Amino acid sequence: MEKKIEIRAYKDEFYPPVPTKATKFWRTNLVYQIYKFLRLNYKIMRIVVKGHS
Amino acid sequence: MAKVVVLGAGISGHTAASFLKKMLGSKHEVVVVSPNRYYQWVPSNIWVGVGRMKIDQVRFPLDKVYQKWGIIYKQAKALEFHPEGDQENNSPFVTIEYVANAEKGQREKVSYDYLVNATGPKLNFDATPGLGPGKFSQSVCSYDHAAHSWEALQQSIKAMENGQMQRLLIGTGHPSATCQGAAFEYALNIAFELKRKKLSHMAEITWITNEYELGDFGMGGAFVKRGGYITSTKVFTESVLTENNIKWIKRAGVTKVEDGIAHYETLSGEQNTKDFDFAMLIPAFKGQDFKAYDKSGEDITAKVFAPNGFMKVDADYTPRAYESWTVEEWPKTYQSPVYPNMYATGIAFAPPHGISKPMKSPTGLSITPSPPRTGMPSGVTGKIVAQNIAHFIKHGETEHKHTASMGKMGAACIVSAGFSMTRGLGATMTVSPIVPDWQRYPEWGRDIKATVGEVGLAGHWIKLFLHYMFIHKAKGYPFWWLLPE
Repeated sequence: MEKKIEIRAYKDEFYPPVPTKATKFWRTNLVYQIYKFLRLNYKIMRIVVKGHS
Repeated sequence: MAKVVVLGAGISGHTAASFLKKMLGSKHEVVVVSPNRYYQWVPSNIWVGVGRMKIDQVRFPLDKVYQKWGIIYKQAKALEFHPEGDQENNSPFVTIEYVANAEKGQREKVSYDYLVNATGPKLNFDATPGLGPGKFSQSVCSYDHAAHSWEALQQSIKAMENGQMQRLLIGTGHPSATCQGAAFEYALNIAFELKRKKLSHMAEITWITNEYELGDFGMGGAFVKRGGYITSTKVFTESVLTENNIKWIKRAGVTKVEDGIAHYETLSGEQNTKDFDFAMLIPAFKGQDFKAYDKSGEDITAKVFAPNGFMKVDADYTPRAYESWTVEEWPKTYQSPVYPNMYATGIAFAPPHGISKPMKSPTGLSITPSPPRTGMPSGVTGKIVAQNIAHFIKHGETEHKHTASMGKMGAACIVSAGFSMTRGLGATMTVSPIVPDWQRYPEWGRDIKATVGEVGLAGHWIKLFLHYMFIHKAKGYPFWWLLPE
């Protein structure tokens, strides 16, 4: 049986950027994500502290 | 001895009550009135909705904590505000009705020196015929709704395992609904769970939203620095949906839900339908149906509350065109302009207007997200109101030492996109300020240096860390007061 291919061209979901294999790898790389965890927490804390007058 | 009554024990009310008691000590009385005997950490309801957390992981009974702190707790709902008292009482009071135990159905007049209204939103399922649990769609707005949603989702998963394609519809269930973030998280978590079960090919997930563009989230969207560009959250959100093979319908106001069919109108005036096997749609929010009376018994509800039921505070409610909105119209102290000993915090205060630009379809239907006040703003406003009231009581002053305008404070939003300690994902978003300040930041409306938008495992860890941190804080465990809102 012939497999039906869904052509996405000209549809909304055809245009947004999608992550590459490398981007997906770094998203779950433990060492890189520990660094990100610390960095994002720092950025969030800056916002939190600014929000309390 | 002063008496402070807090209505509501959600994120804002519980924060206000805990800080009031800590600052006022045993010399003064703090009373909490809430119909729900549990505190719930609402942001984690998403995980209850995909079976990754049990109800008891996101809630705990309030009575033990309040007993430990010396807070008087009444499991009741507020009905009427009497800010001037009545013919028999000179003190202001609220009329409450008990909802549980032997006192169920009994009414009581609870007097106060200061009142904090932190009653959150009423989930207005009735505004969309057929919407909500017990009808034709699910919700994740409370832990019990999320648990029911998980039961319904399991039926769909079972059908997929049996080889039946399933159409899942997630998004907003009313043309003016807010909380897009929660629905967005739910869509991503479902996609993640289906991937984990190798069932992605059996599901067609559709995101339906009242936003003009994706990524608006009721706050007019945002811009983030990413990959060498300043990119709008529209691109960010479309990218995340595309990656998860989730299709979308935007500029859509759901007007009716029937068994397996959602009816919606678009901003261009088209009347469409979308078929589904499972739907989780967020309802519109409104204020609780309180009544207010003056001393003579005359109805002053319209003086104290806005038409949507939320309480008027120190905001500027003069109607203006979108182009004339400024951050100055947003409240700073959350004090009632007519009764200075009354405050409204969290979702209970009436915003001066939306944050997203108002849009109407050719039929006159307003299809615009309402402004969000959940999470961090709820906690922060609860805390500063507690600090100001405690200061007034202890020092006899009337100047507000603490302010928190949504036009000044920032917010962090962690959007869960999959629950796993090693493979999970979360989108971390920060904006500052929440309400765009076009005078101060003419290009993007916000401080671009403080705005973040990143997807990764770290986001999941942060969301999980925040879950345990805020439960720790709400339970009053050691050093709880040091943890930020």
